[in-house]
Amino acid sequence: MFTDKISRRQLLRLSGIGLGAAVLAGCQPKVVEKVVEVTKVVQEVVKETVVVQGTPQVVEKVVEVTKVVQATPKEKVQIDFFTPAGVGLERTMYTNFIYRFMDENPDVRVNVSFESWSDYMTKLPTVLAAGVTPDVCHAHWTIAMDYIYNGAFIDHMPYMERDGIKREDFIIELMDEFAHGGKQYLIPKDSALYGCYYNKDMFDQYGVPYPSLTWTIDDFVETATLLTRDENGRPANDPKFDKTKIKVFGCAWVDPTMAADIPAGFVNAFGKHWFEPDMKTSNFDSDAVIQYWELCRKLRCVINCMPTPAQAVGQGDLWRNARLVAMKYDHQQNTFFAKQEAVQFKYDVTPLPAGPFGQYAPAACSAFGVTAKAAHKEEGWRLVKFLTSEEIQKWIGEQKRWSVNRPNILDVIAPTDGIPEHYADVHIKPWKTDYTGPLKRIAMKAPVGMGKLKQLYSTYLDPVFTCQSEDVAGAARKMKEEADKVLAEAKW
Amino acid sequence: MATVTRVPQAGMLAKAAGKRRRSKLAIREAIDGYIFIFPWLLGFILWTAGPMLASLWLAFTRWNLFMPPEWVGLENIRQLFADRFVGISLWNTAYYTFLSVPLGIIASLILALLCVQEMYGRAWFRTFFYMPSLTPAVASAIVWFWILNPEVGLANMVLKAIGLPPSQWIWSAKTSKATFVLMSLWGAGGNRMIIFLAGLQNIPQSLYEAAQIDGANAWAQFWHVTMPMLSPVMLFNVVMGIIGSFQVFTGAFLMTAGGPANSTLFTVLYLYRLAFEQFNMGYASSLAWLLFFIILGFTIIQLRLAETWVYYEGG
Repeated sequence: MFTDKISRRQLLRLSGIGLGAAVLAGCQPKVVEKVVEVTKVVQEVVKETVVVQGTPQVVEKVVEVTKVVQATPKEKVQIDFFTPAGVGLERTMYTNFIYRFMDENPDVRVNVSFESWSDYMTKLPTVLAAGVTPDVCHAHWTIAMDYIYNGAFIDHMPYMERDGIKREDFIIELMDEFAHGGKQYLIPKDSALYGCYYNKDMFDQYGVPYPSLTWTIDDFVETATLLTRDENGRPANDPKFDKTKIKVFGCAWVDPTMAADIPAGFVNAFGKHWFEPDMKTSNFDSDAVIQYWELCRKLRCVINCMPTPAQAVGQGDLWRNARLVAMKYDHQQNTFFAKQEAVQFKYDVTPLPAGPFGQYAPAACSAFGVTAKAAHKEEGWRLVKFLTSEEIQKWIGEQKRWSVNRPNILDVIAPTDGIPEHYADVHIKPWKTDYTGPLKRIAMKAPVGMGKLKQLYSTYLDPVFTCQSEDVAGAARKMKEEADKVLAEAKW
Repeated sequence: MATVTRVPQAGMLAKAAGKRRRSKLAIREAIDGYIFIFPWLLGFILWTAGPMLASLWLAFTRWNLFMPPEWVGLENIRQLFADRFVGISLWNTAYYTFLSVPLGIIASLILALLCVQEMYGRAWFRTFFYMPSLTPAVASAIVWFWILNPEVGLANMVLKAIGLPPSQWIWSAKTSKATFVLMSLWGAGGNRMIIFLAGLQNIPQSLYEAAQIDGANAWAQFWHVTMPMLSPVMLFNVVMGIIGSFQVFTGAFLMTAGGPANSTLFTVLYLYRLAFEQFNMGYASSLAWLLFFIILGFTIIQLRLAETWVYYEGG
């Protein structure tokens, strides 16, 4: 039994000393593990010069020497892996992959940092700035080139060549998203293959024919117009249509920016890409881009068949909740979530509509790569190779949520129940190596300086797409003028 | 050689002994004091002063986070004056500050005046008013999304009910900043109200009694007793309010991403973008220091002006 009480002063003093000691202990330098040397006594034949009767002669002699045969670290090599696969199935899946990788690579221990997607874009540059460079990390295509340009990732080509991995093993358009100057800086971790999903019940209800696989942008505009209904059931082309009381929009909005996956399909259908192939010049003032932006403005602000952000806010997925929109652009995960949520309507998917310069199938992805400051590049590469391997990709594809990074195993993503009917026509066939149909494949590659371009887009195009301005050409010209200065800043 | 020995007087000896004793005590006190503040001091040096000094140095460098920082002298400062987004963001922030702080102060004061009244359930009212300030920023952003929804939101329902046209709120460049000011009143019942409440409770009742004897009505009592006595608290709330509102970030980051058309691109949001989206940490640091000096300037001005309107009892 304690009889002496501790005074408040003593308690505070002890707490202060304890906390100070803890801080100092925490700040002490990391103890470096000693390397354990495994030695072995071996017999070796050595040549020795001896003098026999005044004459030097070389003779061979067997001697025993102690040699270091293996220098094994006391502990496994630990590599740090930074990924936004922070929740749900994705986290479970990657956790299992990591355990399996460590089973197959007993000399490597993987320390995974699972982050939420929303935090990842902030946390990754923060840890890099702090010098806590992970060995392997994830990069989204929109930021990949900024990281690559700034020297964040190694060129993986030497490793790929050494291990017999070809770029052609992967969906090449996706590989190109992360390549520059003959170097491959990141490897696609999966893929997202886009199409237009439509609610067949809504089409039936309003007597609108389903879109064909080869529909055009004109067909798309007409379909979206006919599907857009006010509370009295009038379509958007009816003179009495009440735009203040819209019950159903023909199509969900996709922000028509160069930082989104789908718009590239439309812009290319009008004849140009956002940027020239060398990424040094933009095409924002080209007819193709202006036509596309004008189309978006018309759909949103004139025909009123695409909701404004204000009209869409807080209502979940506008297509899957079967209330607000009849069509939407999305990748194969929409099928997965429609089934997860057990939607109560019939649906199908069709490619993006064709324009005067063809019909495009857009794709995008994130990728894994070994960082330039990785402490263990070789082990990091082994992890990247493992996660992007055919075997792991098959497993990913079989979950039916993500698509795969390789054209030869695309069939694994096909729904087992055959729904939606044209899933393969949109999400599988166009991406196979032997595809000969009308769809042209396109994957977005971001230029260096995407952050600044997004700022410019917000400045010049927000007024257009919030229906405050009709001057698309003027906005495009100003955007081009400043965007080209941003693009010119990249000196490579 | 003669040796002169000075015999200390009894009083001097006692004084010296006392000095020694006090000195020991003072040393012990000082050691205790340093031990007590050590954790805070260490934290301050490591997590506040250190990063501040580092950012001061970074403000004169070009640093993309990946390569070592490169000294560029005054280049970032020159760029601050040429970058129109700095101007836009400062204007947006000033607009927000100079509307939200006065309105917030008035709202907090009114709530504090209501909560200081003797009435049944006063504690419940205080709790009720304080609760919104405890709501996490993300949760309150979601609530505001629903309230401000132009189609089905509560705010437009109220406008319609009183015969006013609906607004696009944060989804229009014309109304977005004003909407953020409105949303800032959400926290009016928070710490600021509590500080006012404490200030109000410290005003001696005798002053009101004297005013009543002199024939002062309620308004006169408020204006000539409450306000002067509350002025130091008011100064504190104004200073802290301006410092806080110049750093507005979360709402714009979560709800509008600076849009539409940069209308809610506040300075800290732009700073964040420069640092973490455009990988320009050196320039972002220089903007941070610009903001620091602006806030410092406003604080100094307020403290100087305070001499003309703040009443310190006995001071």
